[in-house]
Amino acid sequence: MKTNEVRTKKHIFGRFDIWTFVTIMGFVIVFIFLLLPLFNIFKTSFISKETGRFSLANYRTFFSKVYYTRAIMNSLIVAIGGTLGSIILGLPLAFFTVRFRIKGRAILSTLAVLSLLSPPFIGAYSWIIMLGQNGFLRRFFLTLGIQLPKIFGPGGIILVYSLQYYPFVFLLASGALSSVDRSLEEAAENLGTRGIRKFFKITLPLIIPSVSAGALIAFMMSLANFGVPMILGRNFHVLPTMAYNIFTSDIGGDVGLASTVSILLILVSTVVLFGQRYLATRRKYTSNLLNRPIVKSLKGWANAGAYFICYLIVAISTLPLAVVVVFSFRKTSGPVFHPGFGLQSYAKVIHDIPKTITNSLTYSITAVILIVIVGTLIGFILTRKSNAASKALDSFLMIPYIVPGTVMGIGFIEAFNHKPIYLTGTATIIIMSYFIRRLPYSVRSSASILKQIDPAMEEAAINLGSKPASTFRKITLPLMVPGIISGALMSWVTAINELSSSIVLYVGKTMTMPVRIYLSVLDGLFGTASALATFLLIATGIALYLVNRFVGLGRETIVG
Amino acid sequence: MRKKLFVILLLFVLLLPVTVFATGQKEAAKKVVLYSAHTQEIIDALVPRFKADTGIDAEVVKMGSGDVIARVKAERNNPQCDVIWSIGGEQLEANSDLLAPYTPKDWDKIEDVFKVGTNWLPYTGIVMVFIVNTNLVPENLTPQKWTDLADPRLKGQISSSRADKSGSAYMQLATVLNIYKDRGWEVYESILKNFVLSGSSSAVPRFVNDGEQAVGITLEDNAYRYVKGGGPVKIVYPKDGTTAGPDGIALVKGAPHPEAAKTFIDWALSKPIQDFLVEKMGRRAVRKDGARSPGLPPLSEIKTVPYDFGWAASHKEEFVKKWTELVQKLGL
Repeated sequence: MKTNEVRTKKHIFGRFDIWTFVTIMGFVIVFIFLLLPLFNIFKTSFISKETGRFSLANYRTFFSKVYYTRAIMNSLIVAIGGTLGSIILGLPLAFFTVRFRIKGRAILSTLAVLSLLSPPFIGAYSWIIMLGQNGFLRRFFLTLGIQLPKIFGPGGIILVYSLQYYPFVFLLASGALSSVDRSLEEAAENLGTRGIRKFFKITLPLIIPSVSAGALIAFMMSLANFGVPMILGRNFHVLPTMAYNIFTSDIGGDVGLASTVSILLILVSTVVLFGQRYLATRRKYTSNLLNRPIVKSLKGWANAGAYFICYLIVAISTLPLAVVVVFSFRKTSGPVFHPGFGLQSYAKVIHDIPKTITNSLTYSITAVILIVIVGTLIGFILTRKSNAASKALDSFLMIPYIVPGTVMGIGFIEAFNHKPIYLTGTATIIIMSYFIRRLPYSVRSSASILKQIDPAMEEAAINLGSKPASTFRKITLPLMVPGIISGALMSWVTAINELSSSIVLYVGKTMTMPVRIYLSVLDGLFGTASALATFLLIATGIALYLVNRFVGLGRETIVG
Repeated sequence: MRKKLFVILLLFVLLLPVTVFATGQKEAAKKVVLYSAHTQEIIDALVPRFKADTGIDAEVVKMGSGDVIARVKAERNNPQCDVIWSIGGEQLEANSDLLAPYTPKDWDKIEDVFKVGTNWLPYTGIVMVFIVNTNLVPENLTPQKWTDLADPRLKGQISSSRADKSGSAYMQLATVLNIYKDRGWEVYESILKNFVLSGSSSAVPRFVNDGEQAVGITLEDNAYRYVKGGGPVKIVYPKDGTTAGPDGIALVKGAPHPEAAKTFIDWALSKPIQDFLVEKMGRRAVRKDGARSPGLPPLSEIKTVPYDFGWAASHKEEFVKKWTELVQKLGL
């Protein structure tokens, strides 16, 4: 009798199974940790500091002062500069390594990925060590009579972004270049279009969608980055640093104005995102996996040139990491570097290490466990239980792509510093910021794994009487495991290197490694910063090595 | 059964993200709770020493000085903290209502220049100085006074930090206003024109040491670390006057362990601990009989101008607002 009742109830509500529950939980999570913070920012941006009422005062303040509006210009300058730089470095590297026989290709792309995943602000301060007024590269070039340009200011920021984010363009362009239909290029050659002309007339247009997708990621990352302009900007402000400075000002930061800056930042990202979408859908080419281009061997000067360019690009982008490691072993007296080597920097950080490392590990691992579980389940609904609700969830999960970390941090504080959810100053708030910012990537990657698994196997299990939950557990999950593990490791790498939202959310006892390193750099304590950064780089390196063992560091693993 | 377990587990895991963790409070018999902005290194050295000297356990919560005040303020109805240990004097002055007055054992041994009252007590002495890169600035061009910093040749050559962010940068501003009174803002603006602002006051000597800027305005102990480390820098004490002000230690109003708290304050102001701070931090002792870092002149040789912490604290909002306007006007 009882079971019959339950069955009838199920019919009334439609099929209420475990997946309905997951969908509801997905919405709850999105609502609390994504929509609520963003709504708070949006609302606060319209509240006047003086009257506490709804007004456009903050927007008026922002647009009436050149000091503020200039930050939009500055943001666009460094983001466009970083994007162009990424294309200039990433595209040739992709072209040479895909189309010509270059030895050590695997090493090149692994190094590129390592420099991509290390925190950009570490690159920034490494370039200060190299190109600051007292930098060893600057002094070396001075002995040759060459005065190098200043590292502080927009030029330095663009340099760091280019060297940091070119692997996005490289990875996506490589994929596209290796699957361009050979017959198109051959036809062009038969008609007399060769060499560079052929590249620009035929090959480049064919790979534009992929290159622009890579460029878009580089642009979004450059636009959202906080640490690099904070360290290299000095009197040059961009939107994320502006929002942060206003928010954390000693005299009870102006939350309304900081929110206004945040909203404008989101607006810029959104416009650019849709711009790229529009561009990419206008040009769509089918790739041909059967008629792939041939890999040619170059000879003589051309060969030497190709090798030189490839290795030079990767060497320069890896250089900052090498410099950090070497400088962590430099001899220091107090904060001043002296010739020779020593372990003084490590001795100085020994007090900070246990707590910050424990924090970083606990937060990142907890976040990754949540990301993997929730991401896998939501990924499953998106692919297998596609309906209006899951599609809506999918669209909401696009939001973190356009919300910079600093903004998310500010939103978290505004949403969770009062009842009913009081989280400021806790570890939970940092964990949840990692979680929500990385969740979409995990959802996407588990969805793409699922697309490669034939649903027939699950259907067979269901037909044989298995329940949805146990089908997922016994059939689907085991098939997904390798993909999940690599996705988890990638999420972990991003979480443990995260700075831009944790810098807003941390308090003394919840300090993480990147925050500690960033503060050391900011305080000018380059020795201790190097020692701590070395630890972080080693952790990142180990995780990447494991990813490589499991699935390889391909385009899909990094870009999602 | 296993299915049920799986569902329960799933439920638990899915609910985890929306669960709020609360932290429990531990109680111990003889202890003192300290909120401190000290570096971990100093805390690690002093806490065991305090235990050895007095038998009292010190529980330290390390935070930025702004966080210390915010936290004590938030807990005012149910104080958890006994002693605020080492944060800026003017922050303590501005929040005197959170503090309980206490006259320490060695009150008569404290330097008069650092004494502000007994709401909070001077803990270490700091002096506002210029740090000058000796490779970039020849002896005869070295700025000797605040007004010398207005030299157009120093455009983009003076490193300082943000007065809306850093307590010491605010103190610089207040020092100039204090010395030049009615002409204060005029003098300050002429100096500000030459500034390059950094995100942290501790970075100022780094930039000067590395030659990014020729001159920096910073705290004596910050600058001294680079002098002691052998950098190409020297310290200049402004001839038109500067501020010698303490950072402070204070008993919190309604402290849960008042006796242990008083013991800690007396201990922190004792000669051995003051001498330790001089050696480790390059700060000045607040005691008349305290040690002095080699190479630093005695206080009596530095021209100090009396600095009213109450005045600086009560005008902070107004001054920082004006500072922000100037910075925006000058496009810094």
